[in-house]
Amino acid sequence: MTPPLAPTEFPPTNPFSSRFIRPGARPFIFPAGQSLPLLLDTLRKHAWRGEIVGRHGSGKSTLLHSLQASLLEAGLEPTCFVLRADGKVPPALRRFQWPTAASILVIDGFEQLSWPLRRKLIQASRREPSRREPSRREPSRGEQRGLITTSHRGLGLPRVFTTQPTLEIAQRVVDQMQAAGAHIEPSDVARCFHRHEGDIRETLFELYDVHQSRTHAPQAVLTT
Amino acid sequence: MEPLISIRLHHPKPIFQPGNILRCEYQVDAVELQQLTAIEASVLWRTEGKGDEDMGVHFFERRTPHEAPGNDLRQAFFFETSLPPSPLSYEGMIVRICWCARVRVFLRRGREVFFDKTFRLGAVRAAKFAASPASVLSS
Repeated sequence: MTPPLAPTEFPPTNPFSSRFIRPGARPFIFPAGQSLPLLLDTLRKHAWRGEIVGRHGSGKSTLLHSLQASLLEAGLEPTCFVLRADGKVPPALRRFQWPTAASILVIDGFEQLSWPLRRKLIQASRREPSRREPSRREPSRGEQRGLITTSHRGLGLPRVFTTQPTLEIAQRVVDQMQAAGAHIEPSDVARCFHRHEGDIRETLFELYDVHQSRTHAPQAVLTT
Repeated sequence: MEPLISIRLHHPKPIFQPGNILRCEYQVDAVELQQLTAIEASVLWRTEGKGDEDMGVHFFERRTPHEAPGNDLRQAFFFETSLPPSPLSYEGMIVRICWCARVRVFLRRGREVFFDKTFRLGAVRAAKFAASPASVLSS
């Protein structure tokens, strides 16, 4: 007799599927003493110019998503470009002009741009002091040309945040993603986090495999 | 409060074969008549897993108040569609293919809610974990 080929229902979705770990799917978790309002204050003091710096997989893009939502809530108008390692630069970015006083150019992966284009954008965003009011310290809205970037290293803008994931943050991320009866233990998170040297994205990718292995195979196999 | 969306497949089990007729009834409730701007019903497949996601829509219909008797979208609606030969449902290690009937409700002020009723198309055997990842073996 042929055994049944498939159960009636699929098993639950893997909580580490890409839909749950892509930037924007989860709020950024700040380390103690830091928060989104503090970051907004810092950016405001720098006339909405600043760079978020951190290594690969440290949460820069996730932070940028959280930040963009707050910028919108503050009545600003972020225009975001996500750059990949393929070196392609969207024509709209090459031609970008700040259309209104509230516009902020947001670039995820600023180091993907050529040095001349980076310099051009940084210089264009730099506020020129008004000749009428040379002593004024705070920019008026009309003078703002916001530019917020992420990169793996400092590239010439005021550094407003450095993403430095810790094991505690990784554990909190995983706790948020798992429902009751989850298959991932704190020791799994610690092992993956250390194996990937603090890269949270790679940690979550590996936890996907661990979760799959525990929902698709007998437990005895897993403990050998 | 979110509206209630109910989807019922007229089939003893949520398992279908290519070419089968999927008959579906759906209804939206617990929402004021004026709040509803449109309802979309679809039959679709989507992938999920470690990589980029994909999806395909096999059947789609959209209803607006002026198309419904009494301008009331809260009554039960029915559709049927012949299911295609592929892609078949699949539960793999790094990707899965899921079929579902989806009802998406559009409310005033741009709000949307949706509900999926999953079903299986075909009888492809689910993948089993053959080689544990290094992380599991080294635990």
